[in-house]
Parts: sequence; C-alpha cells; structure tokens
Amino acid sequence: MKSTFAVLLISLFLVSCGLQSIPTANNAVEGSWAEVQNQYKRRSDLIPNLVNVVKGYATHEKETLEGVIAARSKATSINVDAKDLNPETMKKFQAAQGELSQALGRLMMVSERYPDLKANQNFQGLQVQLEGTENRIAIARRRYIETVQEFNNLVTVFPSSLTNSMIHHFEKKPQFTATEAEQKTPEVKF
Amino acid sequence: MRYLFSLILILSLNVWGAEIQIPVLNSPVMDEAGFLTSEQKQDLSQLAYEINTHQGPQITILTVPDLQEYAIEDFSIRVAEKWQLGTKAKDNGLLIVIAKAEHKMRIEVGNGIEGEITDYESNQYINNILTPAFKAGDFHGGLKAVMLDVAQKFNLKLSEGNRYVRRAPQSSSIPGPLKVAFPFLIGILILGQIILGKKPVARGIFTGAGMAGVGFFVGAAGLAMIGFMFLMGLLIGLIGLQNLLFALAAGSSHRGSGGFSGGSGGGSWGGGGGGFSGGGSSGSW
Repeated sequence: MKSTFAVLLISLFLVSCGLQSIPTANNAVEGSWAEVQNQYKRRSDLIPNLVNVVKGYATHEKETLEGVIAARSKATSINVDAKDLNPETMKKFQAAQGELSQALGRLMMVSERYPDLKANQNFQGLQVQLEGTENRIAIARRRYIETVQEFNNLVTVFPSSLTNSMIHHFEKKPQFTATEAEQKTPEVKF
Repeated sequence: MRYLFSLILILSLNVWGAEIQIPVLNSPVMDEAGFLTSEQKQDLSQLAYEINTHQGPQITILTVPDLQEYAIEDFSIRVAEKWQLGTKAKDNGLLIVIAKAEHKMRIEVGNGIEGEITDYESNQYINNILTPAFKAGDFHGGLKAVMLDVAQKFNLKLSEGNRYVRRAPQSSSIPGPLKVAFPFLIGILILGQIILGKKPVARGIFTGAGMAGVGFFVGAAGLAMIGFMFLMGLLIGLIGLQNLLFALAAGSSHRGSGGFSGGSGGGSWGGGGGGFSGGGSSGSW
C-alpha cells in the first residue's frame, strides 16, 4: 500500500515537473520558428519576379522599386537560428522584415496607379501569391507565439520552473511584438 | 464568497465568449448557413466521399451564418486546425468556408497539396467559378464544379457520368430507357410470383428470363446488360419478391435516419491529422 502511494506520488511529480515537457516545448518552438523563417523566405523569393513585372509598367517608380530591393537584401541577410533566439536577434529580424513589409506595401500602393500593370496576368498571379504568403506568415507567427507562450510558462511557472533551473537551464524565448511601424503598415490586401 | 463565485463565473464566461465556435465535423458538407437542399447536400457529400476514396484530397465544405467577427482567413485556418482534414502523412485536406452574413468565402488548402492547388489556382476557382455561381444563387453548382475540377487535377477516375446524382433521391436522374423498363420489370416480378408461387428455382429462371427480355428490348447496353438482368432476375426470383421488398424498405429507412454513418455513403467523416499552413485564397461575392 505504502509503495503504491510512493509510486503514484513520484509519477505525479514526473508528469508535472517538466523533465520531458520542457524539451518537448523547446522542440516545438524551434519547429515553429523554422516555419516562420521559411515563410518569410518564401516572400523574399517572390520579390525579384514582382519587381521585374512592375518595372516594365511603372516607369516612374524607380525609388519605390529600389526601396523594395534594398529592404529585401537586408531582410534576407538576417537569418536567426532557433538556438540563437534572444530578444536582441529577434528585434533585428523583426525590424528587417518589418521594413520589407512596408516597402512592399508602398510598391503595391503605387501599382494601383497603373491600369495596364493591374491587368497584367503575371502581375495578378504574383499579387495572389504575395497575398497567400502574407497569410502564411501571419499563421506561422501566431503558431510561434503560441508555442513560445507554452514554453515560457513551463520555464517560469512553478513547479516546472524548478526543474528548468536545476536541470535544463533554458532561457525564456523572445516573443513577436507589434512594433509601431508595423501597426501603421497598410495591409497588403487586394 | 458569493462575490468570488460570481467573479469566477463572469471571468470564465468571458473566456468562453472570446473562443471561436466551430461545429463538430461529421459530414463533408457542413451546411450551417442553410445554402443547400438536402438533395444537394447529399450529392456533394457523395462526390466528396468518392474523391476521398480514390486517394484524392479530403474536401469539406463549411457554410456559416457569420464569421463571429473574425477575418475569413483567421476563421478558416482555425477550423482547419481543429478539423485536421486530410491524412497526417499526406496533409491533403481542402476546406471551403462560406460566410453568409459577410458574403465571404475562402479555399483553405492543406500543406501537402499546395503544389497541385496553388494559391493562384484557388484564386481562379473563386473568381471564375464560385463568385459568379454564388451571385446567381447557385451554391451547389459552383461547389460541384470546383470539386470536379480538383478531382481532375489529381487525375482521379471517378465513376462515369453522374453516379453521385443517380444515388441521390431524384427520379429525374434515372436514365430514359430504364424509366420505360421499370414498369415492365415490376410487372414481370409480380407475374412470376403469382404464377410460380412457392418454387424458388422456377421463379428465378422465369424472372431472370423476363428481365433479360426487357434488357434486350430496351437495348440499353448489349449482351452484358442482358446477362446482368437475367442474373438479377434469377436472384430476385430465388429470394422471393416479398423478402426483397422488405429488405429494401429496411435498408432505405436505415439510410434515412442514419445519414452517412449509416453505411451507404462510405462511413464517418473525420479529420486524419492533416496540417494546414495558410495556402489557398479568399474572395467575396
């Protein structure tokens, strides 16, 4: 009787202590972060084609186009490995991608002024793809936020926080924050 | 204490209020907004079942009265995450969400079939098929056209003609020759019963011959058809008409009450762990 009770107690402790759940949650964060980067990369990959098509019609928008190209090369140069995720790297990553979002938003806005461009099938296709990519990014970000929330709860809330400080030594993971610039960004919706 | 209790109650209500309401998945056509008649629903369900059993994607349609103040993209991805359409290995789910109040729609494409159905293609479906059809009020027609086109994209060899339509309880979908032959068949069946009474083998041969004759005169499909009719007749004769009618009646009432879980359509309809990451397209009509 006594031993059953002890086993029950120990197993209860093991379940709630985070010995397994913390590394599992860590993997989930790494997975969801990879997906975030993946979807942002997908967006960058679309941009050269988009710029080329727009260039053919919107002859007076050199500045906007160059802005997009510059923002793209900056954004693609910042890759953050899941293991290097911290508030600092996260801020950099987010700032670069945010700039690209804004540049793209401006590009889509000016393209409204060119009816021939809007009628171009190639452009329409790219618009749809860009829209889909923005949606994928939003979803990947939400999933990342959710997994990080769970992870951070595990490493900061008792009793699993105790296990973390004794065994795992994980840091809290950085969250996405809506920056001021991002909040003002016009949605890339058509 | 009472205050504490009511505070907890209010807080919990608040949490529930923010939670999105998603119906429990039990059919390929979840027509919560009531766009479709029951025949149309059945027709689309049959098609979805057939596409799915032919290794095509698991297509599911959801119509809702409104989006509960969510954006359509947000709403549909949450439904997709909850239902997990498609298999875990293939991620081949396809969800079509239609919101009545907002006049919005979205095609949500599973991870594994984004190559076959690109965002551009979903967009084409919405612009070229669904929007015009919905504007004309033809929800069934638009959805069916999209489903058939998806089936084609996956090179599925669906049953010839309108098998799904014929299965639906619509008399008009019975082909012409059969319509003529039907009274004859009934006549022969009854005649056979009366003349030969309790001799199963003779009854079977008589009925079989009679039905083969009808097959011949109708000229529906040559020798194979005549042979088939004969065999059917033989079987019916052997079983006996009363028994057969009884079985049919039992079967049809079972189907009526049980829906698809009753067994005629192909079993229950549930997600298989398929993943979505936001592929697809949205539109409005």
